[in-house]
Amino acid sequence: MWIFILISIVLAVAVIVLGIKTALLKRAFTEIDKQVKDHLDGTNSSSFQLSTGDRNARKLANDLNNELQELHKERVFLRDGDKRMKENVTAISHDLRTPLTAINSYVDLLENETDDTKRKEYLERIKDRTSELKDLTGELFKYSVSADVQYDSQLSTEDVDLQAIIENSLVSFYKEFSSKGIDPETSFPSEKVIVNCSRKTLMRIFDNVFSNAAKYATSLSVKLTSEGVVTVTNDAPDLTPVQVSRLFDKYYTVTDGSNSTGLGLSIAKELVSKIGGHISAEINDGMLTVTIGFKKVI
Amino acid sequence: MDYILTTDTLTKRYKKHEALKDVSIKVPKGSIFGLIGKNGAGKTTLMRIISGLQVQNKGTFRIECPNIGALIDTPAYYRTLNAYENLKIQYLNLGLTSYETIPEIINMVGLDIAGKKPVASYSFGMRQRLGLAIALCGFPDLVILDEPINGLDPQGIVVIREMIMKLNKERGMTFIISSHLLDELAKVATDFAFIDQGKIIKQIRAEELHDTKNGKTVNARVSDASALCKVLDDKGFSYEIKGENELVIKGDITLTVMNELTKEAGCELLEFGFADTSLEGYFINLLEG
Repeated sequence: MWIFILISIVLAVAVIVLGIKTALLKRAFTEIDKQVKDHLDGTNSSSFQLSTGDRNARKLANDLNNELQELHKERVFLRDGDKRMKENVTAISHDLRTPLTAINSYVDLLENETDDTKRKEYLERIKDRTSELKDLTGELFKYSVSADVQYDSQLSTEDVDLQAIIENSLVSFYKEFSSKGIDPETSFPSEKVIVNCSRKTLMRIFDNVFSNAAKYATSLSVKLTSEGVVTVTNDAPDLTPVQVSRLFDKYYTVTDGSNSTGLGLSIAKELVSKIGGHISAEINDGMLTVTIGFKKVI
Repeated sequence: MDYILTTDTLTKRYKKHEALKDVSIKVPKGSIFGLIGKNGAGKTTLMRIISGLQVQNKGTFRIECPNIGALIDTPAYYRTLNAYENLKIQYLNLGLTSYETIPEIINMVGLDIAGKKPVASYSFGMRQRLGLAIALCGFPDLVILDEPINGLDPQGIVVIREMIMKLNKERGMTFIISSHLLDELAKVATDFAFIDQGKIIKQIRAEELHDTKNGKTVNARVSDASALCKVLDDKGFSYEIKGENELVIKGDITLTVMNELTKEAGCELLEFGFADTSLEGYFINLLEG
C-alpha cells in the first residue's frame, strides 16, 4: 500500500517539474518566434535574448541569431549602396552643370560679339571648360567600366610579373611626369614577384595611383618588396592626416573642384580589394605613402 | 523616413528649475545623432529620460525598437572582475544566447590591451571604454552615449569614432551622442540637434552644414546665373552652380562685392547669405542670434 502512495507522490512531483519545464520552453519559443519576426521585418536587429537557460532552446536561438545578423548586415549594405548611388548621381549632375552653364553663357556672348580679340578669349574659355568636361566624363567612364573589370578580374587570372606592370604603367605616364619635372625613383627586389590575377586589373590599379601622383606631386618614388608590397611615396606638403583618412572615399578631392572627380583612388581601392589585396595611405613629414599589398604566388 | 525615436513635448522640472521644456525631436533610423548644448542645457536629462532612468513631468516619447544600450554618467561594473567577466555578466543579464561576440566588442572599444587585469586597476579612460562595451552588448538598434569620449586619449578618441562609424555603417545601428567636443562630433554625426536652456533651438542634417566646409563660401541666388558665370570667371572666383540660378561662390565676398559683381553681369541679386565655416561657429551664431 505505502509503495503505491510513494510512487504516486514521485509521479506527481515529476508531472509538476515537467509541467514547469514545458511552460518555460513554451515561453522561450514564443520569444524566439517574436524576435525572428521582428528581425525579418526590420524592427529589431540586436542579438537574440532569451529568458530560459535551456541549452537546446538557446542553441536554436543562437543559430537563428547568427543567420539573421548576416541577413541584416547584407540588407544594410544594399540599402547603403542604393543611397550612395543616389548621392553620386546628384554629385555628378552638380559637377556637370557648372561647366555646362559657363559654356552656355559664352556661346550666348559669342553670338553678339564682334570684337575679334574678345571672341578669341571666349573661345579659349569654352575650350577650357569643354576639356574639363571631357576629363570629368572620362573619369566617370573609367569608373563605370571598373565594374566590368571587377567582373573579369575573377575570370581571367594569370601569373603576372609585378615589376613589369609597374614599369609599364610608369612609362605610360612619362609625358605627365616629365612636364612636371618628376623623375620617378624606383627600387625593385632581385627576384621576380609574381602575382596571380588579371593583368588589366593590375594595370588599372597602378594607373589610378600614378595619375594621382602626376596631378599633385613634384617627386615620386616607387618601391616593390620581395613580399609583394608596393609603396608609392610622393610629396604632399598640404595634406593633413584627416584628409588622408578620406583619400579613398569616392568623390573626395583635396583641392576643391576643378580637374578632378575624386574617383581615382576609390577605384584603386575597390580593385585592390577585389583581387584580395589591401591598400592604405599615410602621411609622414609631408610625404604621402600609398601602400598596396598583393597576394604573392611564389 | 523612418524614425527610431520621436519625443513629443517632453518636459522635466527639478523643483522650480525647468531642465527640459517641450522637447520634440525626431531621430532618423540609422543616423548618428549629435546632441549639442552647453553644460546644464539639458542634454543628460533628455538622455536619462529616453533611457528610462528618469521620468518626465509631461510629454511622451516612443522608441521603435525593442532594445537600447546606454552609457550615461559612470558605468556600473564589478571592480574585482576583468573586462571579459564583466561583459559576461551583462550578457547573462540580457539573456543573450552565446558569449561568442564578447571578444569582438572588447577589441572594438580597444580594451584588448587590458588583458586579464581587474577593472579596479583601470584608468579613467579604460573604464569609459568598458562602459561603452557594456552599452554595446547584444548590438542594440539604438545606443545612447553621453559624452562618450570624455577622458580618452587622442588615440582612444579615434578608436571610438571609428567604432561608432563602423557599427553604424555595417549594422545600421542608430547612435545618439552628446559631446562638447564639437569638432569630434562634426566628424561622425549625420544629424545635429542644438539644445539650450532645456529647449531644442535647431535640428539640422549634416549635409546642410557640410556644404559650407573648406573655407569661406557664400550662397547666392541671382536672376541669371550664366551671365554671372562670365563675370566670376573674369575675376577668377571659383564657384559651383547648385540649382536653377543658385550658386555657391568660394572666397571672402561681402555683400558690396557681390552687388558689384551682379551689376557687372547685368543681373539681379535675389538672395545672399554667408555660409558658416564650422559647427562651432554655427553653434555660437545660433546661441547669439
